[in-house]
Amino acid sequence: MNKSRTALIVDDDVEFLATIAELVGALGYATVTAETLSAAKRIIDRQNFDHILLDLMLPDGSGLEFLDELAPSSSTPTTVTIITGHPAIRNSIKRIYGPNINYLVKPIALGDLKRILHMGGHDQDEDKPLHLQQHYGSLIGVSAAMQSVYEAIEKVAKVSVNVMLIGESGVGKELVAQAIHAASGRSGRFVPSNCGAFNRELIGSELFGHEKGAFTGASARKMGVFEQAAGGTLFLDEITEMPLELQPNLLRVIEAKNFVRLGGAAPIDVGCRIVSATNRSEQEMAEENLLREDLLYRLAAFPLVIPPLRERHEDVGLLTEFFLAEFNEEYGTELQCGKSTMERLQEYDWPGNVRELRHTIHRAYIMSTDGKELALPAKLGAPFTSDDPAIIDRTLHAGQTIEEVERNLIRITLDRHGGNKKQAATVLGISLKTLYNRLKSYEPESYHLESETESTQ
Amino acid sequence: MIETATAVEQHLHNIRTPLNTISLTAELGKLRIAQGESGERLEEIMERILTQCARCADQIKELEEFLTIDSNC
Repeated sequence: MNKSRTALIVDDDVEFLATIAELVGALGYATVTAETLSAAKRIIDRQNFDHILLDLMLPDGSGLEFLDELAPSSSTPTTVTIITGHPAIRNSIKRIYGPNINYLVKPIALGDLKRILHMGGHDQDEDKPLHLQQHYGSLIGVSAAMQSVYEAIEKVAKVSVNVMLIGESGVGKELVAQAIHAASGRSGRFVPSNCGAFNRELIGSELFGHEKGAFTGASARKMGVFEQAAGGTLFLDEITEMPLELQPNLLRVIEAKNFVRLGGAAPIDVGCRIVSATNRSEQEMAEENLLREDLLYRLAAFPLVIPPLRERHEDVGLLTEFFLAEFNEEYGTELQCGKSTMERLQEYDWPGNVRELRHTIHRAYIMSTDGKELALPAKLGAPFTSDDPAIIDRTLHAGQTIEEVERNLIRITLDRHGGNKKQAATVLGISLKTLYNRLKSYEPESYHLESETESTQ
Repeated sequence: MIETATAVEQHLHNIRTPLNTISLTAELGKLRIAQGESGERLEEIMERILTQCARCADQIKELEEFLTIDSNC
C-alpha cells in the first residue's frame, strides 16, 4: 500500500523550510509546511501528523505556545521535535515538557535528522481499527465513489500531469491534492496556495517570486510558490477565483515550463506538478467564462471529480467514527455514537459535505455533557445551510434586506476562508466579537452554548 | 550599550540563519548524490548554496558597517 508517514514542519525562514522539507521528504515522509504559528495551528486543526518539527522562534509567537496546545492530548502519537539554535534551551524545555520531545540543534546534520525521524516513529494507525485507517495518510471512505477516487489517484500519481479537482465546498479537495502528492513519492514540498486570497497587485510576486528591489517594498529576494514547490506539488485552490486578466501569465508559464522572478532575468524551470481545484462545475466554468479555455485545458489535463458526501452516504458512519475518535483522543474521553444518532446522521443530506459533518460532530461533542453518548441538536444543519432561497442566492438585487445580504456576505467570506473566523472577520472589517454575535443570531437555540465556549478561547 | 548588544545579537542571528541553510542544503546535496542524482538537480542545489552564501556575505557586511558606525560615535 502506498501510504507514507506525515510530517508538519514549522519554520519562518522560507529557504530553510524548503530545504528541510525536501530532506524530510527524501526520508520517506509526506510533508506539509507552515511559516507561522497561526498557519500551523490551522493545519493541525484539520490533520494529524506522525511528526511535527517546530522552530521555537516564529514571527507571530513562540513555538512553545504551540506545544502547550498539543500537550493536553498526551495520548497523541505525534512525535514533536524542536529545532533550535541554542542548545541551552533544551534543558529548560525538557524540565517542562518531559522526555517525549526531541531536539535538533542548528546547524542540523543529516545523521541527526535521520535518527530523529526513525526513532519513536510510532505508527499512527497501529492502534486504530483497520477500517479507520486513512488512505494516503489523509482520506477516509470505503464507498464505491471513493474507491474510484483512490484508483484515479493511484493512476495519476505515477504520471506528471496537471490535475484539476472539481467538487463542492467541503468535500476535501485539499486532502485529495495532498494524497496525490503523497502517492507520487515526489521529493519536493506540497505547497498549498489559494488563488482567491492573492492580492491583485502582488499576484505575480506570490506566484513567481521577486528579486530584491524589483519594486518599492521588495526589500529582499522572495521565492514564489512555483519555486517553493520545486520537485513537489503546487496546489492552486479556487483557481476559478483568479482574475481573468491575470490568467495569461499563468498560461504562459505552464506552456513555456519556465518563469522569471519579478525584476529577475534568469528563467527558472517549473519543476512541480500543478493540482488546481474549484467548487464550480465544468459546465459553470464554460458558461460563466471563469477560466480561459486554453488555461483550462492545460490545468485539467486530468480532471478528477470528488463526490459530494450525499453520493457516498455509506461513508458517513466511518467518517463519524473517525472524527469522534479524534475528539475522544484529543480530550481524553470515550464518547460513543448511539444507533439512532448514527441513523439520523446517515439520513441527513450534508450540503456542506464532510466539513459540515466534522463541524456537526464537534458541536455535538461539546454539547454532550453526559460523557457517554454523542447527543445531536434537535435540528441538523449548519447555520448557513438554510433552504431559504434568499440565503442561497449569491447575487445582489433590489428586494433583498440588508440583513439577508449581510448574512450572505458573512457566509461566503467564511466559506472562502475555510471557516476560519478570525480571517473572515479581518476581511469583513469587523471585530471577531461582532462576527461571533452575528453568527450567534443566525443559529438555532441549541447551538448557543457551543459558540459561547468557542468565543472564550 | 544594551541596545548595541541586542543589535549585534540580531546581526549574528541574521548571519547564522543562512549558514544553517547552507549546511542543510549541503546535506541535501550529499543525500541526492548518494541516491544517484546528477546534473540539473545538483546544479540547482549548488545554486541555492551560492545564494545563501551571498546572503551571508551581505549580512557580515552589514554587521561590519554597524560596528564601524557605532565605534565612531
